[in-house]
Amino acid sequence: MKTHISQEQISAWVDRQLDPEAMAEINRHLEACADCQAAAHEMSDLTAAFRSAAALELPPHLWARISAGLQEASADRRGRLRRLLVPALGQPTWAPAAAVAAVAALILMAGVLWVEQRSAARLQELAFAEIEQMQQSLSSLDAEKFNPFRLPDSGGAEANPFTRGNPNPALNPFSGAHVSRQ
Amino acid sequence: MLVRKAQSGNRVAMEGIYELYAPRIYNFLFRMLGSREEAEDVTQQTFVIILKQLDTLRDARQLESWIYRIARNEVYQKFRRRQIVREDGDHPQENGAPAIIEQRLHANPEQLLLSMELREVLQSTLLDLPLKLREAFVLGVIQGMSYKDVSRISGRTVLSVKTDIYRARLSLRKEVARYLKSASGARNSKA
Repeated sequence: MKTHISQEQISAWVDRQLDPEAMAEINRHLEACADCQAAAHEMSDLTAAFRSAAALELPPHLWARISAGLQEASADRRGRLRRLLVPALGQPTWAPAAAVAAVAALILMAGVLWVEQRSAARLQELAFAEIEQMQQSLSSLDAEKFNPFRLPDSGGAEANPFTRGNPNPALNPFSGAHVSRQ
Repeated sequence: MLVRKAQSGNRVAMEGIYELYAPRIYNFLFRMLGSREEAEDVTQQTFVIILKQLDTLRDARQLESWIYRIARNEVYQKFRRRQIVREDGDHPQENGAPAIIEQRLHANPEQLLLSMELREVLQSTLLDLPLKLREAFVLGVIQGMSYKDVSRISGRTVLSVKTDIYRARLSLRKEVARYLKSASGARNSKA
């Protein structure tokens, strides 16, 4: 039983869209197969009929219309750009108003930050001044007066048992008076 | 070279591109839409678009398939709009069927076939095809493009294009065979 070529392959063969090997194979088959040959002729006739219909001529005024369309399009583009960049006279659009508001907000924020920074610096300055003042006042105090090892001033030199010139030799354990008692 | 000049705004180069590609685009659009006026309008739209956006084209070798892609997108948009109008039901006259198909449906087929020009018969049978098959057939068969180029323009695979063209041939064969048979019969009787 003879195997026929698929109609889809014949369609592609008519359009010369198969690779050279497939084209040659179909050529060989068509020489031997009347059915496939008839199908190929039918498809070729159909193609020839469509291709034979004369192509339409371009309307002569078409380029003029296209050219006018291009000019109109470029005028439109220029107009859009102009509308974007130059708002109508005396009528602020939302875009400049928004820009002004944004700049004002920025200035306000910068002002607040500056004031806050200045206040902090001022507080720091005051604190340092206070500390310095305290240091100065502490250093100016009588060191002897605040000496924790200082004996009370009530008895003077006499009250100190270790004073060399203590008038009361009895209180001084290292004085000669003690030695003589032993 | 022509593309570069046109990209820099040279009007003569732009016109050169138009002269080179417009005839094929116009005929492609006529086959797709079935009306000279619509083909003219869409050719105009297509060239205004491509000449405006020419600086976006990176590879000048792709110019032809790029123009075809834009043209077929315009066709699909037009058909979508027609579909919307038809679904709205506001414009029953604009249902996408050209007058020639209406005539064919209501007239005596034999009489009509004899009175019509071959091109008109072929065009009306072509317009009966679904858009996808029509596009593949017009580009691949009538305009003789390679299946690869058709696939690049239509965004479908080469295999799908091959199948679509075959299916289009099958659908057209029935309609056209009748006309071809009667025409060859007439030629034989004259001889």
